[in-house]
Amino acid sequence: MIQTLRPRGLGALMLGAALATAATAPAQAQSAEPCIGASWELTGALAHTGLQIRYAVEVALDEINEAGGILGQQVTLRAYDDQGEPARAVDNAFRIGEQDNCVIMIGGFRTPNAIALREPLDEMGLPWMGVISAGTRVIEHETGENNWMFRVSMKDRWVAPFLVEHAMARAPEGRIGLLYEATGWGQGAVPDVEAAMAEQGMELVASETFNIGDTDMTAQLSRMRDAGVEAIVFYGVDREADGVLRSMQRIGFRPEIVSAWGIGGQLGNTAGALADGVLVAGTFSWWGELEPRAQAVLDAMVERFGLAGPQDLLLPSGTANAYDAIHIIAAALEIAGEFDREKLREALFEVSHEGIVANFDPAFERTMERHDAITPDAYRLLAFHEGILLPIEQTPFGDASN
Amino acid sequence: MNVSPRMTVALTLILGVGALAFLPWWGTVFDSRFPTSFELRIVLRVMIIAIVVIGLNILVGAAGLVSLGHAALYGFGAHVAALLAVNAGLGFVPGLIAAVLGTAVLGAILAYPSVRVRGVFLAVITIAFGLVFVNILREWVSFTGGASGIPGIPRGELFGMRLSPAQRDGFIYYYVVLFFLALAFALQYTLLFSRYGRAMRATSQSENASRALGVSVIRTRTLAFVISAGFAGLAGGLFTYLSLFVNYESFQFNQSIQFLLMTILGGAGTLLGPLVGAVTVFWATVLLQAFEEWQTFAFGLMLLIVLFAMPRGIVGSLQDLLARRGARPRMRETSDWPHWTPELEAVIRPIEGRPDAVLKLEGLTLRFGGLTAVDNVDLAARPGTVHALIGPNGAGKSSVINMISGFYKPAEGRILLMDQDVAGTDSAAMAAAGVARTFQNTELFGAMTVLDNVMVGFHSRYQSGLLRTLVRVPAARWEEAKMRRQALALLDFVGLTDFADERAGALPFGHQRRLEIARALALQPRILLLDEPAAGLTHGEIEDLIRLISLLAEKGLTILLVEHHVDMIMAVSDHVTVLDYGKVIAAGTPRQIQDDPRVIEAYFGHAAPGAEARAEAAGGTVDVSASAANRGAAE
Amino acid sequence: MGNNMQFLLSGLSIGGVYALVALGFSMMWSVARAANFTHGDIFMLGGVLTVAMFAAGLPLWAAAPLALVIAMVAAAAIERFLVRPFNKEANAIGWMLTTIAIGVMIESFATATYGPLPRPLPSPLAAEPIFVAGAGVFPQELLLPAVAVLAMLALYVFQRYTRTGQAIRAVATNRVAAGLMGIDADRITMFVFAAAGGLGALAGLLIAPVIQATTTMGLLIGLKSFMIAIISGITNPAGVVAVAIAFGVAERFIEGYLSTSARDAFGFTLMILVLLAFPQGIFGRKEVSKV
Repeated sequence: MIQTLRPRGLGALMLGAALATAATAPAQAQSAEPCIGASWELTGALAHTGLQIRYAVEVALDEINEAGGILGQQVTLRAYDDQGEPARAVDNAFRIGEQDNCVIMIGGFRTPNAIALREPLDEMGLPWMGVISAGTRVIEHETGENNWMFRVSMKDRWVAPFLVEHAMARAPEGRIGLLYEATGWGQGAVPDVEAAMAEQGMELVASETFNIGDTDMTAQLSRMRDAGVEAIVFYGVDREADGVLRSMQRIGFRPEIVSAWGIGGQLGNTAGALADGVLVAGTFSWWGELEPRAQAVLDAMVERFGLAGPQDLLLPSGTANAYDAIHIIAAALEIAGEFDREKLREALFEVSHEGIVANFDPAFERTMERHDAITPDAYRLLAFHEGILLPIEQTPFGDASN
Repeated sequence: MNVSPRMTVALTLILGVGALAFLPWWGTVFDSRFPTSFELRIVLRVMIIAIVVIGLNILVGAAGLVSLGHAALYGFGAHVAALLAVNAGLGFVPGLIAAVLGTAVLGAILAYPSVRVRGVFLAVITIAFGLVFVNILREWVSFTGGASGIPGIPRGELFGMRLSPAQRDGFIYYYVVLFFLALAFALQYTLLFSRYGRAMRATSQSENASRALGVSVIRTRTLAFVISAGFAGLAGGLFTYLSLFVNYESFQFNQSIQFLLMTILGGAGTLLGPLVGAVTVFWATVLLQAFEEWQTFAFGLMLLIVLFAMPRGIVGSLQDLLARRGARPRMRETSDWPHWTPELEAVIRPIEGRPDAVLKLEGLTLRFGGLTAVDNVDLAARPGTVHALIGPNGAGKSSVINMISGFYKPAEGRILLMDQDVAGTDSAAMAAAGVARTFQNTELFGAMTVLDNVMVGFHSRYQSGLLRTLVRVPAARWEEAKMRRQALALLDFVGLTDFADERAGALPFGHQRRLEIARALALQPRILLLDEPAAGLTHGEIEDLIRLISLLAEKGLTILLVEHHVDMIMAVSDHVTVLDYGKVIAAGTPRQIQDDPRVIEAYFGHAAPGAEARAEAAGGTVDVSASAANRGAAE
Repeated sequence: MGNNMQFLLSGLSIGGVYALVALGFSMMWSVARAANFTHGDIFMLGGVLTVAMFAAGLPLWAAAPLALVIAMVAAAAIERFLVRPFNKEANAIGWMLTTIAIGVMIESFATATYGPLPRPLPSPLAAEPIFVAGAGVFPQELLLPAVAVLAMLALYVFQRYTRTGQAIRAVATNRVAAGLMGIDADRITMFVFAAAGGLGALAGLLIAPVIQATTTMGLLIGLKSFMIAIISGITNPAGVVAVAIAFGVAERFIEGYLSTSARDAFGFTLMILVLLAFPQGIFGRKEVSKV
């Protein structure tokens, strides 16, 4: 149901002035169109993130449309590539909000791309729903005012204490090191983790960073080993996590690893047994026993996109979040009673929804902090076991936790 | 189809600015939803990018240098404006000025050392710089916000107006950007069609000829890069005040590549190329979204197709096509030369005062490794005379010319020009001081017109500086017109008036020699060094050349002539110095030299006995190079 | 001192990668005064094709050579169709753009078909690290500098003792003169591009078991290697290999003693400074400007 429109009128514009093709749309939109816009990555090193979220969004929309749509109308997804660049995300936002005139926009993987949207969303009055990008500043703006940005995902400020708590439980002397990628997400997490440590009355004994694409982390890990790190809090994604594990093997140093949810299923495929025991915070796992509704979603995704199974869902939590987010939007639109952005925003504060990730009751509240739908009590710890990322209860690593 | 550049610029400015200025109001006037702020934003983004590409066009199209780090320069400007706005509370105008100047200075620092060697080195330096820049942006979290960037940049204000592109603010920022684009476009024109633009094109086509005409290659290239960087900085500042958020992702290597593609695709060196390139490529990236994960593939493919189908870019290839269709084959008439006209009195003048020698060499010595190519040479060229420098191949004649014109640094000895020691001075400075030369193998700026070739020769004689030239103050326009008249007079002098707008590379060989002499005369030289000017000329052309040289000497010009052609030496020289193995073996009047046994020994001593006979058989025209032993070395 | 040993060993590994890729740049530049600017993508193909064919069921002993052959054919085709026609004039830059375009296409094609994620390549030499003076390294990693040095030596022997090798030297010294002597300079150039492609792809498949093969692994390695080739004096193969390995080691020591995050900033600044100090490259010969 993806519909990628040609930019109507732009061609004419290039010819100097629009001659004939433009100007067909009705004057001044009274209300928005029944479409959900999206800007995420479809090309480049993180191309899979956009494609993966799409699985869940499409399946959720299929369910909704088969059941008669929203307010009796079929709803479409219009997805655009931002190539990971904030300025392009803003281009896409204007395309979604103005040209396509969609009722809401959903976001992708990268935190800076979400931060860049603040002004444009305000200007257009377009609601935005994040499903992955976990940066605290995406939702909690320094200005103290956030009118249009919502999120069904984790929040770094809440994730950090969760990670630190579990790391501390595995570090007898509380010697925790932080290892993070040099991206907006990784760097943004540093103050959160430091604050969480302070709350425990401790300080980080090491703090190290790496670049996207780095494969050799021996320098960082040697320093961490020399600092006597017992457990590492990790912010990064699969590829660099693989580099970390191999570098650990090289220098014979394997502390506990408690990772934010950048690590998805792929690490199990590349690192194999090396990944065993790596703990990952998340909101959902598609492995193991699923409740019937989640099982049906999984089956639908497998069928529609020809997946081999849960091993092909590389962002397990992100896909689940996206699925719930679409249903929350649908429910809010039913409450709003029409495809109107202002009313949709108001309705988002009214919605309660039983999702597969959590029971959202209510989904959002009017404080800025609670523009995040998923609260820490829904966070779960997952663990790699035999190459598979499972809920920790289903692995032998659950015992270590307090 | 002959649209002058001036017309192109005027038409583009009037029509383009008019259309773009009307665009935001289209929806109001025709009561349509078009254009939405999406379309306007795309136009805005393209306008900002086009400013970068115009700058890059000056670098690539004129100076022939490649930058693969322009995204970083653009980002530098953006960050200067952003950081000053956030940390120092600087407003829009001062922020923009700082962005332009800061980036230009950075450009100078990068370019000056790296353009010394070869163009590709600048490309490498710019790649490295781009990567360092992004690395610093990403890692210096406390200063640049790291990967999260700098959000919350306050919107610019100008005369109390809020610089927003939204309709409720009257699209004011849209018009600000449009203004700067029009300005950049106009500056591109005034620069490219000024002595600076000509100098840039000259350095990209022949470094040696440029230096010989008083154009400093390093300075010219640095200038091109600095201006190019300034444009990038301007665009960066404008980008900052559009997006109100900056982080490193917008300024990475692939963006640099896109800028370069826009330049080449549009047509490097053309006026409209940057606009067409920016629009086409940016539009393509928007359109190609339809290909989803295949869009970058489609982008590469599109690029390849264009490069194959239009190697000179869209505008360049269209121009070629129009020129080919429009041009009726025309016979150009060569006129008689030398043709003296009163206008030339302003260009070719006798030296002020009467020094006893214009040029004096004292103990001049040059060594290549262990080999002494020129050994303790003395020589004095008196004003208004023709001084010939002869000798067998490898005797060191060209090396002497190269030292006088500053291409080689002498190991020892003095070169006195008007009694001032100038030994070791850089070639461009020597040319500006009045030493003009031609080359054994003609070194023209092949892709430039015949007229422009001569105009490059005037480069060092202009009074108007960069700013006056760019703004085209009346004095600068007048000066340009004057130089143009003199250049035409010089072309007339050598009989090439009808070829003025022809590509120099397309001239027949004899005409190229003439042009090179006319170009050298443009320097208004104190001394003219002619390095084998007769080589390759026909009999009739040599006759003309002899008359030209005599005429120039008669008008008071001093000439140092390196030649093998004995008839010519006899006919024109007042004084002859003979070199062999780098040493002066004889000096005197042509008569004296002709009978000097040492000279005969040097020329014919080691050669086969039949040489003289063969020379005579050739009709008395002794081309001594044919019979001399070829020693190869330093020439 | 375990740390220093660790930095040295890790540096040798990445330095070996730079060396093989930079050696390819050096070879191409010598004969053509141009290069496949996206040679990094040939490096990527070596790793990615091997992994893809291995995953498709081909045994490793077949997949690896096949990947090399495909990469070499691709490199030769790039020379024939994208470099040669765009490198006619002295200061042509067309080849830079055409090869960038094909690089974009190769990388995009690979990403769309192979996927953007890293995939493993099993190798017995990358299963367990060996320990040297307290530092660990996979034997696979030590292959790289060894292969790079061997390749460089083989190149010398080849150029000295075979007809084709002498023809290469002739073309590198003076293309026109070589042509007059009956050497088919175009064929030699294509051959050299193919050989350079082979070395690049070899580096890619040798490092794949250690770093996981991804479709985006070529860009930065390619750029860095090109710069390394330039700063070391691009036409001197021994110099290029030596500088490349030294640069890899230096990077690790910078990471170890200064800062991980500043690695590239330091590394590239170092390159800029070296180029300013040695405009012809460290081991480059000055080209006498002929007037």
